[in-house]
Amino acid sequence: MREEAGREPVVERGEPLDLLVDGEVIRAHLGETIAGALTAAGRRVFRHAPRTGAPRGVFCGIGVCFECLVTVEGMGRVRSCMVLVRPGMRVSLRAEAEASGGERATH
Amino acid sequence: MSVQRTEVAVLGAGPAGIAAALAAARAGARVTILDESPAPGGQIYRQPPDAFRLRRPEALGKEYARAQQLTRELAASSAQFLPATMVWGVEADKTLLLYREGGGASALKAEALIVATGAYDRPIAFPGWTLPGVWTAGGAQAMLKSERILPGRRVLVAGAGPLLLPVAKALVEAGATVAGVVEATTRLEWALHSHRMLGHWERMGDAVRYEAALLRARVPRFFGHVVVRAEGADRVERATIAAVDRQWRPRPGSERTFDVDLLCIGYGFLSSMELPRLLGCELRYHGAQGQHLPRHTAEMESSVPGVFVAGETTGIGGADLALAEGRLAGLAAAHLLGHPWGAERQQEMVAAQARRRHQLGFARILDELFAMRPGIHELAAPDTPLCRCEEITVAEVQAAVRRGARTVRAVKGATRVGQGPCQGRICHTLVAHLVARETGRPVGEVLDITPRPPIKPVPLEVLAGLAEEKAGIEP
Repeated sequence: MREEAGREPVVERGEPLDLLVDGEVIRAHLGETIAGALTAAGRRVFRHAPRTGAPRGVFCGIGVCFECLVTVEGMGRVRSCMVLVRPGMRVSLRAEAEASGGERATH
Repeated sequence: MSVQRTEVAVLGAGPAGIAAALAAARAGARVTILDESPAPGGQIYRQPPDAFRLRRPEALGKEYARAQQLTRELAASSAQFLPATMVWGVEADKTLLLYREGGGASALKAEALIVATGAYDRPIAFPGWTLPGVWTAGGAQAMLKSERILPGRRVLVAGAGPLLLPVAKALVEAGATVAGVVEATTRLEWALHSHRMLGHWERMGDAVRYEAALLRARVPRFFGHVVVRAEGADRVERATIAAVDRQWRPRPGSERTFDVDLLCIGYGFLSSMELPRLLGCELRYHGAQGQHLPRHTAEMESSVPGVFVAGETTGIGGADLALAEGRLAGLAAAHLLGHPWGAERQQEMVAAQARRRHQLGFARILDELFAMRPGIHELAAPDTPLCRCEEITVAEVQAAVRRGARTVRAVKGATRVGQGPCQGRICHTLVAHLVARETGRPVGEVLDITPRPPIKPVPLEVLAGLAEEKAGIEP
């Protein structure tokens, strides 16, 4: 939910744009992060943990915990709370495991 | 990979980093300041994105005005800002290995480093803490402050410390129903510390304003309570709190459950210690803050020559302390590099040191009042994950200890705890407290993590590129 619902907004959001999330169109605005746009659209489950399949979503919100990882076409796996939406951006919450070119080195 | 050069590299563009960059630049140094976020400001001084237009800036309060002033000063200064840039490694000659999401790898060689990488919400594990809709208080505040997006409609805000009040107030103002603010300490404990806060009028004024706003919104307050579990199918639906004793152990029969779609958890903060550790800065364990912190001089220089620390990197203390430390570090770094040093700079240094001492006094009061107590580390059940990335549970860590692991590093080797993308940032203190309890050893001794690059995940081709370059192969 964007905070404006039924009240005088503090901000005027950036240009509206469509975010394609696993084929579904989600309304977003320039200046929002992917995590913000998904949250505003009511999404809470961003991925499923690989070992137990437990649902996961935004936790720290500031780029520390890597719980909100999503796959963005052309960028690979990114922390959705740290990446701003762009027109034409295609996001997948499913493709986490089979993302190509997005493998990350940890150690 | 291109190697840029600078004199002073400031890592982190929150209050400490910006103050450091401004001071060093004013003193004549060539400064590069970088941050993982797309815009400067850090967490406390987070602002709506440039793409938004403000209709009612007055609604954003004095913090916003301060943030605006600082970021404007930064933009007008000679310091160069690198946005959305992460440091994933650093070499002994102060060459920083950088990666920009979607933008590739680069390197920056500096003569002095100022580490001002801030802090993040201290994680506390309890059954259900990995459910979507359980957010850190700081994370909820960040989304409200910058994007003006509300992550839930019916919210419980729980933890210990001064952050809970502004977060609850921001949630109410954005239109959420706050079902309660749950604070582990008691009103009596607050009262017993209050006389020491005399002289810190501004901070006390803030607290009074938050309290008044919550009273007006009829937000229920629970003191001496903690959240003991969260439940729900694929997202949080219920949160249960319980009254606690002086050691924060739940009292039987005192539970009470709330229907919520957002649970905000805030038990204070942990300083980001990856870079000081990686740089080899000497650390000491700070008992009240429950974490290792770098030793430093009065000029904020760490044990590594030319590496300065400022802001939450030196311990949790808030924005005003961070501003004073940032200025000190910036001035001292410029001085070290031989930039002209007159009476004016000396005065600036002395004034910043006095401000630092004053703010430090307030920070110590908060340290004592809101220090974690043993019961908070006993909430997790055997099947509760401690390491969220690798999904390693309490029982698995206990099993590793029984097999002989006596430190966090040993548990990491035995279980993969802390080997996921967050590199143990979230779980290392949780695992340390469990290992300490199981072995009877002090937390400070079992917490022996040593980060290795990449300290943050980078695409494999970045590492491959670096390896080829080192081997003298042109890509």
